[in-house]
Amino acid sequence: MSKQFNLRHTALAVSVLGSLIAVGTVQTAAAADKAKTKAAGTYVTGDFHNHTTCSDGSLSMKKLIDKSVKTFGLDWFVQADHGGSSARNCTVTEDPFEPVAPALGLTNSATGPYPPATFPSGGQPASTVKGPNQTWVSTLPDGIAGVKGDGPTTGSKPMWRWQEIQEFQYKVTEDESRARQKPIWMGVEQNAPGHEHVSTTVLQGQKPWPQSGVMGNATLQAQYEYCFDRNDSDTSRGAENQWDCSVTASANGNALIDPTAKKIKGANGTTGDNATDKGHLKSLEGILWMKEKAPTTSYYIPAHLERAGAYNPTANAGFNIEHLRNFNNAAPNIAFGFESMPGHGASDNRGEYRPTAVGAGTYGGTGIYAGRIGGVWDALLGEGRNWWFFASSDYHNRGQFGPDQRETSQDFFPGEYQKDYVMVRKGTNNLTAEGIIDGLRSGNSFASSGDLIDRLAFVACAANPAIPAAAFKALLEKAASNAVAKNAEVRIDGCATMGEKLVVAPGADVVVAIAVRDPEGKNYSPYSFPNPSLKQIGITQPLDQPVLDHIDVIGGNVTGFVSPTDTAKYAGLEGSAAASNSSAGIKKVFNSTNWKAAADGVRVMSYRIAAVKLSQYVRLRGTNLPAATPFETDVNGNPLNDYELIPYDPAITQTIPGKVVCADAACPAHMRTINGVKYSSLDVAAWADLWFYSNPVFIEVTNSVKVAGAK
Amino acid sequence: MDVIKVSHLSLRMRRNQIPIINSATRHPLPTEHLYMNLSRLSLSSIVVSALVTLSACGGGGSSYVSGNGTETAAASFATKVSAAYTSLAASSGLTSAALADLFNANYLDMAFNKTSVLAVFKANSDALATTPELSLFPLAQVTNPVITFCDGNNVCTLNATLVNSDADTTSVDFSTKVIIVSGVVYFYGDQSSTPSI
Repeated sequence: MSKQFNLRHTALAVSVLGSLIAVGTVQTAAAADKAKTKAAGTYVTGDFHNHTTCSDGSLSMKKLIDKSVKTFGLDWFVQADHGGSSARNCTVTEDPFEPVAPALGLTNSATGPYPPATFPSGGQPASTVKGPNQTWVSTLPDGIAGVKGDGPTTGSKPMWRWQEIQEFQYKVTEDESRARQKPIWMGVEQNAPGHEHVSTTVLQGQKPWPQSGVMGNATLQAQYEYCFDRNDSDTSRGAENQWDCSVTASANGNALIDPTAKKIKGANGTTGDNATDKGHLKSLEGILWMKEKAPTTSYYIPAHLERAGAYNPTANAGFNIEHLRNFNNAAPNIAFGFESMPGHGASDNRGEYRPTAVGAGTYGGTGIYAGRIGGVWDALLGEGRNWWFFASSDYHNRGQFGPDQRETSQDFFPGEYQKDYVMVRKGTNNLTAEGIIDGLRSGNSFASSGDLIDRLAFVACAANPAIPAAAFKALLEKAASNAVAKNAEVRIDGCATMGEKLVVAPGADVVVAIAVRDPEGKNYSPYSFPNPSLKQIGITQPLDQPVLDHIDVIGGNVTGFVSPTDTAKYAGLEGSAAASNSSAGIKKVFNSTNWKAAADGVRVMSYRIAAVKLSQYVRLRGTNLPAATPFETDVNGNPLNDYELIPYDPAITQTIPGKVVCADAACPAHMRTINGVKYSSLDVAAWADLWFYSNPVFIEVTNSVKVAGAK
Repeated sequence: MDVIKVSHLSLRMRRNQIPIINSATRHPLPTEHLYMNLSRLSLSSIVVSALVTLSACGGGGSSYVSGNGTETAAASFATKVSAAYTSLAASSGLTSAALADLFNANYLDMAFNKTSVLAVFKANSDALATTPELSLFPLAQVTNPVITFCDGNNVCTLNATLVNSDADTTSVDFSTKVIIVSGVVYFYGDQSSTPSI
């Protein structure tokens, strides 16, 4: 059972936050930019959450980067291991680096000769005296003397992440970035005090491609990790760095700072350094620190935020909606979204969301906070907040398979399965890390799994009644189609795209125009046998050639910011009034019967919202699965809990049958198999169940509620 | 042979004939006066005479055939429409007479009549006074206008191209109904009273 957040705790949290809200600045509202003020840009693909042996991953930095930006073609990449410490040296690369080309059914070296056809599941064994599973102590020239900060003086002393980042990892990322001519930089998946994990970046000082010349540094990123990661208990102040983690705009006057460590020690708990809600407070201080040190080049994005269950003021667990609101209030330009489409997509517990997660599992691979219409995300959007949806791969390993095998029973590589598509306005500076962070912050982005779609143009435009309606519709559809052809956005005055707001007079009509590309050819699935989920309903469709079935236009009303003092509306569990938007719903469904289909996979559609009277938003989701696909979608097309398809098996012993038989002769051997019957599961279940989510377009009606948190 | 209607009469008109309008009454002359042998006239004089007739004398109740002055009328209309559309970027354009003058009194397009169209722009003008960040209307230029298929009520089809060049150029061909009254072209709409888009 997940721990519940009771009213007492809510009151505590809110009282703690009272002063913080005052220091936070609500983002200034602005209407959609004039088209001519928008530099031309394109959507670029990337991932900001993944792991190497510098935390609990299985690969070197170089191999993970190689897989992400070369094998799977991402345009940008943020290497973001957990904070804390690690004994392994992820800067040592595998040898051989690329043992084989990716292919199905390669021999796992755990059972074969060495050098292997592929490395084993855990990566190249340290016993080979090669590769990133070797320790820092064994690979540094001066051994343990080179490992700084608190810790043992003998044995395999782990290195604090701040040192890994500052002295070793940063150089690798910058070298890789410049050599590969792609923006690649350092982040941290923070063990957030009071919570589980958060994807973070403090870019300031880093100089990835296209910068050149003198090497940059990730000192601020390293300092952030020292100061605010829950698992970093080092008190050395970063050795010779002698960091001080105080925050000028501290909500508590830095009164909680430990005089020796010069940082807040402890997190949520009940004794010693740990106190009720202390961790959450520390997390908020960290956001304020980012705001002070790197206000435009930082981000703070809670990861797989439903996974650890509800918030617990005396432990470090999940996030309730009030915590997301607190983050956003503290620094809306830094805490602007969540990873509600988690990684670990091929895990037996998809996303590693066990029944203890909020929502008791994922829904089509997405957590319930974004997966349930009218839930947490819609509640935040219903306030008019800038709060955006992101996906990540959270790569650690491939379960029972090696990193060069195409099958996986745990994680997909960044770029292999799901990714973020972010608008970057290149201007004269080309693709930059700063531009990508600007794009993330803008909300002009979408996420897709399995390359269900790879391009999207999505705008809401003030209907111009002086132009005949059919002509106006045709103009906007053509603009959307043109934008998709260029992997760009619609740039027309009077049209707002994702992350922007349209401001209209009451009674105006609004036309929503959409173009997507369902890419031709194959995605990265290694399987070409028919999708078992679709096979149930008589559709034969290769797993590696998914077809977009439909798009839902989801809308809801904007009713304005909720004050933190309004506890009933501000704080609560998933499903509570505070975490719901009852006005949200599916406003329109597009499919092959009402979209225009081009031969290149582009689908174009539009619809008119007549006589708008209330401020509102529209967002999109789409899938390869028709409504009422057994064990996958309900009659309204909503994704079902993924445990409907493959029931939770607490012992991972594969003794509980699945629901959809994987009967094709090509169905792989690693599927859950009971009495000789294979069931769709693991990576096959993920490749069968694909979704995309767009970020919203806000529509503000002048005499209605102001959409205050949208650009 | 082209079959057209003139007022309530259905006539067969030979090529090179155009209807002659009684400028005093703005009604067609009796049938026997309707035709003149245009073969005696040069093409330019035909066009000129037609234009004079349409613009100076009015043409209410008469019919038009592509090629008989409609090119100029269409071009003039396109220019007028484009100018009015451009003016929508400013508050004054939202309530301008030029904008109102684009629409026939019987205009109806996807449930919008002339009154409701102008009401939308008036509402925007009012809103703009208090909300400077009010979004503009997407605008366009109208090019390549061709008027065809006029019926007996002078309701014709306008084929043209809409072009938006705010940042990236978007152009799309479209057709809509227009009506020609006294030689002046107005939007007439699809006459649909229900939203269909």
